[in-house]
Amino acid sequence: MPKAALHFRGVIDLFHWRPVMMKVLFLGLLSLVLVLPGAVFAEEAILLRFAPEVGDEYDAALLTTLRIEITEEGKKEEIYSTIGLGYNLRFTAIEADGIGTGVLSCHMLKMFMSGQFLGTIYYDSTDPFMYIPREVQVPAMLLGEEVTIKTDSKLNIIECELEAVAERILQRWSSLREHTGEEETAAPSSADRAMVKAQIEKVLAELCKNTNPDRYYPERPVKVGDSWATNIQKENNGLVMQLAIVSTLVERTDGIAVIKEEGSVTLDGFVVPEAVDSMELETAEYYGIVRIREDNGFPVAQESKLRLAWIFQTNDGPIYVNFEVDVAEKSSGPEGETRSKATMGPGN
Amino acid sequence: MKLHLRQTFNRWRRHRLWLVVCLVVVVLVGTAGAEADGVILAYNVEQGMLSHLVLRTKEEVVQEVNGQEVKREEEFLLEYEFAKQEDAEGAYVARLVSLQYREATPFQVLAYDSAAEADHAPELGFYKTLPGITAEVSVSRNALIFTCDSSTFPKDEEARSWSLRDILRLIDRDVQKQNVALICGNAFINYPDRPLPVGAVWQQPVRIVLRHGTVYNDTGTYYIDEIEEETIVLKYSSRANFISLQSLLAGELSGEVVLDRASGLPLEGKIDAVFAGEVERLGLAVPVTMKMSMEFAARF
Repeated sequence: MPKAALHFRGVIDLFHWRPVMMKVLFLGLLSLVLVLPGAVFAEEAILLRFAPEVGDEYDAALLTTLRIEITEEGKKEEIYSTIGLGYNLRFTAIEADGIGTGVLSCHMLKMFMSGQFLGTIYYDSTDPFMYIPREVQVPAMLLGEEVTIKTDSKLNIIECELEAVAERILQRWSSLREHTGEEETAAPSSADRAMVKAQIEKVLAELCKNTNPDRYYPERPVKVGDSWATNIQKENNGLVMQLAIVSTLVERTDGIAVIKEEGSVTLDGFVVPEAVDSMELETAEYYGIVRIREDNGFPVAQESKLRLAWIFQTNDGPIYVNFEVDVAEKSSGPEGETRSKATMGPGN
Repeated sequence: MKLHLRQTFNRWRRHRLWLVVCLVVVVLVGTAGAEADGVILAYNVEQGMLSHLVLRTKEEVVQEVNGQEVKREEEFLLEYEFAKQEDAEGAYVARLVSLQYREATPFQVLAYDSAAEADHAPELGFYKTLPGITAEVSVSRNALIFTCDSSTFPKDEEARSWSLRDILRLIDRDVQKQNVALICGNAFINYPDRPLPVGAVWQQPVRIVLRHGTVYNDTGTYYIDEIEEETIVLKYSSRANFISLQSLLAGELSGEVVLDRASGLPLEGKIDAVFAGEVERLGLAVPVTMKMSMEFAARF
C-alpha cells in the first residue's frame, strides 16, 4: 500500500476513533472527580466529641437483659431479668469548655425478674394500667422525675444533683404508704427515711457513673480502620471485673460513625465456695457496636453482649454456669434519630 | 383488702382482651325475620350454627410523661370454637383455641403465637396460659349470655414448686376470675321485642359496679342501617367511661356489625374506640389516650 494511502487511512482511523477516545477520556476524568472526594473523605480523620448545643434533646430507650443459666446433674435453672429505662436529656446551657448542663428526665421504665425462687415480678410503664408490684414501687417512682446533670465532651456525667430527686421519691413513697394503709405504722421512722434516701441516692449515683460512654470518644482523630483501647473496671461486693475493650472505627456513612467493640474480661476476688474443688472460666467475651453522629457526637444506637461461662467441679459432678448480659439502646426520637437543634422543627 | 382488689382489677385491665370480648358480645343482637313494619330482633341458633369466631384487635396507647409521648401498640388474634352442650337447651361452651399476640414499645417488640413451638419471651408467659380457656354461653330468644367459668380462667399452670409470691398471685387471680365473670355476665344487651324498621334506634345502658368500687359505665346506641334479604347492617355507638381509684378514662365507641338474619348471629364487624383521661401512677398523674380498633369474623 502506498505510503500516502497509509497516511490517509491513519488520518481516517484517528478521525473515526477520536470521539470514542474523547468519551473514554471524559468518563475517566468524571470518575476521578466522583471518586476523589470520597477517597479524600475516607482518608480524613475525625475527632469524635460529644458537643451538644443549647436546646438539643436526646431521647433514648435503654434495655438491659440478664440471663443466668445453671445446669447441675442435667437440671437447668434459669434466671431472667430485664431492666428498661427511657430517658430524655435536654441541654439548657453549654459552657466555653464544652461542659453541658442538661435536664435528665425519665419517661419509661420496665422491670422483669423471674426465677424459681424469685417468682415473677413484672412492671412495664408503657402499659399505664399495669399493676405495679410492691417490690418495684420505689424504682418505679423514677417515672416522671428529673435531675440536673453536667456532661463533659465524652458524655461522662460529671455532676448530678441527686439529693432533691431522692427527697421527692422519698416523699412519694411515704405518702403512698400512708395512703394505702398497707403498713401497720402509717409513716416510716426518720431512720427508715434516711436509710431509704441513702439507698436511692446510691442507686442513682451508680446509674450515672456506670454508663462509661467515654470509650466512644478516642483521644485522637481516627480514620476508618483505626483502633483504640479502653479499660473499664467494675467492682461489686469484692468481685472486680476488668473489661479491656478494643474499639475500631469500621464505617462512616451519612454522618454516622460506626464503632465495633471487642473485649476481654478478667475477674478478681471471686470467692470459690467450699464445696467447689476447682473453677474454670471457660468463656469471657464482650462484643459491641455503637453508632454515633459525627456532627455532635450523640450516640444514635448501641448494642453489646457480655458472656461469661464457668465450670465448677464438685464432688457431685460439674456445675455449668452461663451468664449473659445484653444491652440495647436506641434513640426514640423522630425517625429513630437523635434529635438535635438542627433537626428539630416546630412542634417537635 | 382495698389495695388487693384494686391491684386485681388493674391486672385484669392489663389483659384487656376481655374488654374486646365484651365489645363483641355487646353487638351480638339479631333478628328472626321481617315484619311488615320492621324486623324483630332475636337469636335463633340451631345446633352447629354457632361454631367459630375470629377476633382481630389492635390497640394503641399513648401516654405523656414529662412532656414525652410514649406509644405502645398491642395486637391480638383470637380464635374461638363453640360446642353445644348436649343436655342443655341453648347452652354452648366457647373455647379459645389459638391466640397470637404482639406488643411494640420503644424498648422492643415481643410476640407470642400459641401455634408456634418456638420459645416466647418470658414477659409473655401469661398468654401461654390462655389457650384452652372456656366460657359458658347460653342463648335465649333475646339474650346471649357469656359467662366465664372461674375454674378455667386462666388455665391452671403446670404443677411446680410455688414461692410465697406465686401463691399470692394465684389468690389474686382467683378474684380476677370473678371480676371477669361479673363483667362478662353484665355486658350483654337485652334487645327490644318490638319490630324495628330501618332507622330504628334503641339504647341499652350498661353499668357494672365491681366490689371494690370501680364502675364501668356504657350506654350503647343501636341503629338499624340496612335490612337485606339475608343480612342486617347495624350501626353501634357508645359513650363510655372507666372510673377507678386510679384512673378516669372517658371516650366513645362506634362501629358497624353485619348480622345473619336467620340466626341473629354476627357475621362480621368493626368497632373503633377512643378513650382519654388521666391515670394515677404512684402519685403521678399521667395523661393517657387509648385507641382500639377491633375486627371480627364469624364462621357458621
